[in-house]
Amino acid sequence: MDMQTKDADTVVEAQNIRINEVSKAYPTPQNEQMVVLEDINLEIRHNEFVCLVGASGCGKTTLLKILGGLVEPTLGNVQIGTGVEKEPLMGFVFQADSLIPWRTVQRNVGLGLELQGVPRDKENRRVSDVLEMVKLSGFGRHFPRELSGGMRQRVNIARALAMQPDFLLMDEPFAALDAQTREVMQSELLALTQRLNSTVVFVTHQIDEAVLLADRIVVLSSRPGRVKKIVTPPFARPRDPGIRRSKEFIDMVNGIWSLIRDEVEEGIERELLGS
Amino acid sequence: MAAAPDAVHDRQAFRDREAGKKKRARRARWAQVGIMALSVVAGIAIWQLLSMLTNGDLVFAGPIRTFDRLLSVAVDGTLWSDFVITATEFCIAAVMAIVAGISIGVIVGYFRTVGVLMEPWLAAGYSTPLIALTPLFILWFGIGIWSKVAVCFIVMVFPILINTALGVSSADRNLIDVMRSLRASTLQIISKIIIRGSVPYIATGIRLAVGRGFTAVVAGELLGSNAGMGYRILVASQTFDVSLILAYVFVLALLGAAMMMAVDALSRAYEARRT
Repeated sequence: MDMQTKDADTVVEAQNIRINEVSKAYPTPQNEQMVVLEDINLEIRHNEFVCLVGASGCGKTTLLKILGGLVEPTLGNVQIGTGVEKEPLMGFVFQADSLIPWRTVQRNVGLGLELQGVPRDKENRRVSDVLEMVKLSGFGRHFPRELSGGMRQRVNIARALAMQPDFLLMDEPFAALDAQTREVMQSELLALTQRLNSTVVFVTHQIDEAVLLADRIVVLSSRPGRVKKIVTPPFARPRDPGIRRSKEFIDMVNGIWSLIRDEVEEGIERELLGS
Repeated sequence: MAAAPDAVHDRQAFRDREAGKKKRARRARWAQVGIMALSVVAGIAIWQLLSMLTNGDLVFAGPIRTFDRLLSVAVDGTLWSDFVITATEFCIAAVMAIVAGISIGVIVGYFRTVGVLMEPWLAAGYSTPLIALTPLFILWFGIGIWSKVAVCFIVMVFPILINTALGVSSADRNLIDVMRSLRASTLQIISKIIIRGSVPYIATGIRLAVGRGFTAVVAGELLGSNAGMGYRILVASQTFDVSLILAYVFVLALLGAAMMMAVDALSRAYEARRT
């Protein structure tokens, strides 16, 4: 692989994420090992928007948490850059309801800076900048419970952006939103990440969302999660959400759906059988 | 980028809704206060009636004689000096119980093993009427305030400890993941999420403890003391000073109600505080 250079001057390559033979197994209550991820090899390039899709239980969230350092892989490792520069910052955007309910929007978004000991006035300036980015200026003093689902996810994104992360890791951030709000959020995320040149790893179970947003889509198989296929949507950037209605788009969604359809159905059957 | 229309609309609607809610709540509150005042007046009238029916100040003093007696002990300073003793005992015990209860509770709730280890002792400590230990405490700490501090403390510490532990062990895992993704230290996670999230539980514990502790301190004085409000009641019972007993019980009732209101007001103020 040409990416194995140790040259620190190659800045772009230094910002790549390399997932090396990562496996993850959890012990079950029956004292068996449940393999969630098996032998994942993947490279995420600087400024790339990568979507992880797959049937539920394919370990896509686990893979994201491994990337974010929240879960240790059982085997393999994640290498970021050449591994010699300072540890990169991961901006994690969680699923709904990961806001701290007793903190205002302002204090939720500023949390990361506060933890690093950034002075309050500097924190506040940065917070109002990112709140503006997600179009929530003026909501700083509200509590999460006072906001709609879409607004809460904006706060979640703002909290991750406030840290000026090297990577954005997003775990089904729009899954809990209604269809209309989701579409608005998708096009805003599209615009925002293009403007900020962010590297994004985005987990979703919605194939059309992945095709709309991603430079590359990693399709994972289920139980154990393996890389089944990598799909590259051919749409140029900046992207317009209008591409949803193009034939190319719909074909691609159907193609990916046919890849995971059996597993989704199996998963549902398994749930119905209660195992 | 256009301003998010849902956001602007939500803000105005939210303010209107909140203002209306507050006005209605205030009106309902005043109506309640009126009804409660009426209930108190009726109660005192029934008390007077009963005392006239039983026809004897020796057995049962009416409100007029009781308040008369109350005035006399208030004027000559007896009430105040008795109150200071009892209040001192209670406050020392309460501070000790809150500090010990919260700190031990955090440890018990945070470390599962410690929790299991302590379980039988906590259950016993919570359900045993520990006032029964008063004679022992008098043997150990003497007839002065410290035996009462001890019994009040031991009664107060368990509800605070158990509720704190419950709050700590039911901390939101998602929020802990959020903190870890923002690179919080363990200490930051404990203080900013685990303990802060336990505040409603701790408040419940303190509320329970205040009621129980107040009973314990007076009961402790009744069982053996040389000063305090319980001591005065004991002396009054030996001299058949029924109106003095009732006068003191009346003051104790007021104090109990005042403390409950203070605890509620404190926890409400804490919750409403915009951080």
